[in-house]
Amino acid sequence: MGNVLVLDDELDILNLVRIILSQKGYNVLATSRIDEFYSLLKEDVNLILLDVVMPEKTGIEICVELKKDPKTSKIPIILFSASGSAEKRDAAIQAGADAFLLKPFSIIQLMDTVNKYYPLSTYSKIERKR
Amino acid sequence: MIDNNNQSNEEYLQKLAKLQTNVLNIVKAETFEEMAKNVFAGIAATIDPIFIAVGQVRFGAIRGLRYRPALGIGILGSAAGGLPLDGPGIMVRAVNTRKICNIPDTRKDPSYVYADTDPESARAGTHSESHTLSEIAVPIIAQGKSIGVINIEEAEVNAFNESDQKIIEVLSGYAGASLSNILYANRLNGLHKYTSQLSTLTSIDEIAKQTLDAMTETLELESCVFLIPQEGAIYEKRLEESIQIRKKAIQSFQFGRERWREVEDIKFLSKLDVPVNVDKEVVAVITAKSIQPDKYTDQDKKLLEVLASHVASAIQRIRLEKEQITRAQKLEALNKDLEREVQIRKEYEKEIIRVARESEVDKLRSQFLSTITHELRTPLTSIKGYVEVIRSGWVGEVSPEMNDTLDIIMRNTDRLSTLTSDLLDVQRIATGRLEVNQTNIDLKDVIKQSIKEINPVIAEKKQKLELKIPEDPLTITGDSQRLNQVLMNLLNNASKFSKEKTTIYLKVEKDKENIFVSVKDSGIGIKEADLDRVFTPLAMIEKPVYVKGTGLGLSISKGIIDLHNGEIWAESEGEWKGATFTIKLPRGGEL
Repeated sequence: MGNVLVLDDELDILNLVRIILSQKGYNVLATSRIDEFYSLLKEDVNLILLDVVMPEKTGIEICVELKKDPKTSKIPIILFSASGSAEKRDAAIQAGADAFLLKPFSIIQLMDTVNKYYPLSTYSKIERKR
Repeated sequence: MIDNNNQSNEEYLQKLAKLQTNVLNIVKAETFEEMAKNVFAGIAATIDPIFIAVGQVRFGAIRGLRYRPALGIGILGSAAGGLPLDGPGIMVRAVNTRKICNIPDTRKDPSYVYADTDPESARAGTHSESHTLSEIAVPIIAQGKSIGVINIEEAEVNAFNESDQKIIEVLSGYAGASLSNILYANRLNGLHKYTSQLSTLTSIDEIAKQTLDAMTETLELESCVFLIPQEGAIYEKRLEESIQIRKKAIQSFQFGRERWREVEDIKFLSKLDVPVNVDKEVVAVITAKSIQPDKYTDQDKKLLEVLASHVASAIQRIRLEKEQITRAQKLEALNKDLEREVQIRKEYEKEIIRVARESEVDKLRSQFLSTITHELRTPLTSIKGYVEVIRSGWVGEVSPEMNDTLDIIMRNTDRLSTLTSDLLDVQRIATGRLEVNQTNIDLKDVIKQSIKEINPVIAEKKQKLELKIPEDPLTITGDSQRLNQVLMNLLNNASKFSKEKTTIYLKVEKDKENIFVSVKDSGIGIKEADLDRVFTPLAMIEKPVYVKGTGLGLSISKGIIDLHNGEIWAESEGEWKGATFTIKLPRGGEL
């Protein structure tokens, strides 16, 4: 089973997402550092969760990059942010993100979104292998 | 690294939160002094340095107020004469460069002046600028020009961190918007007085003199010329105060130290000419000159243009009177005059509305609110998430008592979370940026959802909800989520403002064109005078004593209903006689 890769510069929230996803049976790779994020990307990743507001590079910029790169463009990306303005959502969708999650979220909201996008990616992966 | 960041962010956040009242007061201030005192209060409450100064740029010098915890508030500047803009010093540098000057160690700054000092504080021994080891000066900017400066000082090296600088930046933003509004309001008022006198004048000579008085004394333009080309007449006036202010600044700055310069002849470095046209003929030119380079703003230009059009009207009137033209012609001309007056007045009003609407205050307030909500939601995400983690039993067994306690934390976290969204919504409504996502919906679905959500709230107060809803669908074009927000607000209020064990009535009626939803309670009611006021954000008005909470909900509800082309109103027989809130929405669309 592939991994869910999470990047958030807020360590508390990063840890929270890790706890929830692990409890729900997912394999989680979590980091607060952008350089580490890129090296983890080389692992078997089925889904990516990205925080939007980060000091070095925004989640939106990273999302655009990943969606352009043929190696990563098929991996579903969920952006999450504490800024819920319509502009932020539009920017997320335009960047090619598959979903946008507003903080604070409940476990149910998080899991609904992750469940919705995770199996799809496994499926397409199997398809690709064939 | 991350921890440090968190810590300083958190510190900044706490300071920002403390500033809220000060910021409101700064924005509301009607005089420079009032504005400056609120800046002092804000800085004293958050950073608490040994010295704070707020200066205003006037006539080539910085003048204003300073605050020392030991001495209180006094006049700024060496020997209280202010600081000349071509002199040395960090406040001067900030104003001239329009950039923030942050000097962590003044001993290492070559241009730092170990100046001295007003005799009062020298005697008290509480001050000397030479005790200042770190210092920040932030220019107050409006319309791209420095109009003032905020300065803080401390007797230690490296006393100020990044969050301190950010605080001063935030305050200077508000101070700029406030000060520019104060100046503009004063000038508009003055101009109004001038124009009402203009109609009583009987010669061009009088007009020229009166205009120069208005330009110098009311508009605070330091040196002005009124030229009448046809007659070769030149009238000039210098604002005596401006010369005095500058002289005093230069002289007093030399107090107790070597003379660094002479008070020189005045050189004018910027100039603004505005022609006075009567029927496309230039009958006069009015000019403002300043010793400050790049001094004049668009505002100055606009005001002078308004002034010029008044002068044109007055000159034309006098000419007509002199020429003894026929009554008919005269009437016609006067009519034109009147039209022009009306036109000018309209422009005036438009201008005033535009300034009020698009003022920088709004922009800054938006930014401030989005920053603060983002920063509030981040810790809320952690609180909410970890409470859920505990409640899920993943970190140990949860007793029923613990679970009840966790419910309370959760409920209050949700309240905080709603509150932060409300703050943003109010701002979006005020600036016309609230969006509704309208589709054809059955309002009954929305009502059902709201009832489901309100049930636990009214159950807790042992209240009853009585429903009267028609059987058939209630089709409208609207945003389900936003309409649910409105209904939840009305139902929450009904419950909150009523006693335990009372009944709340939710009634839906319709006629050919509209659907009416009303929520009625038997609670504290509303005074007649407040019936409309309850829909205004309470931050703006005096809050009635019987209202708890932020008072944001109803103004948001009104904003949402307005966007649905509906209406919302309140009815009440008076205090403690209950209240009924009704929403009217136009029927529409097929499902």
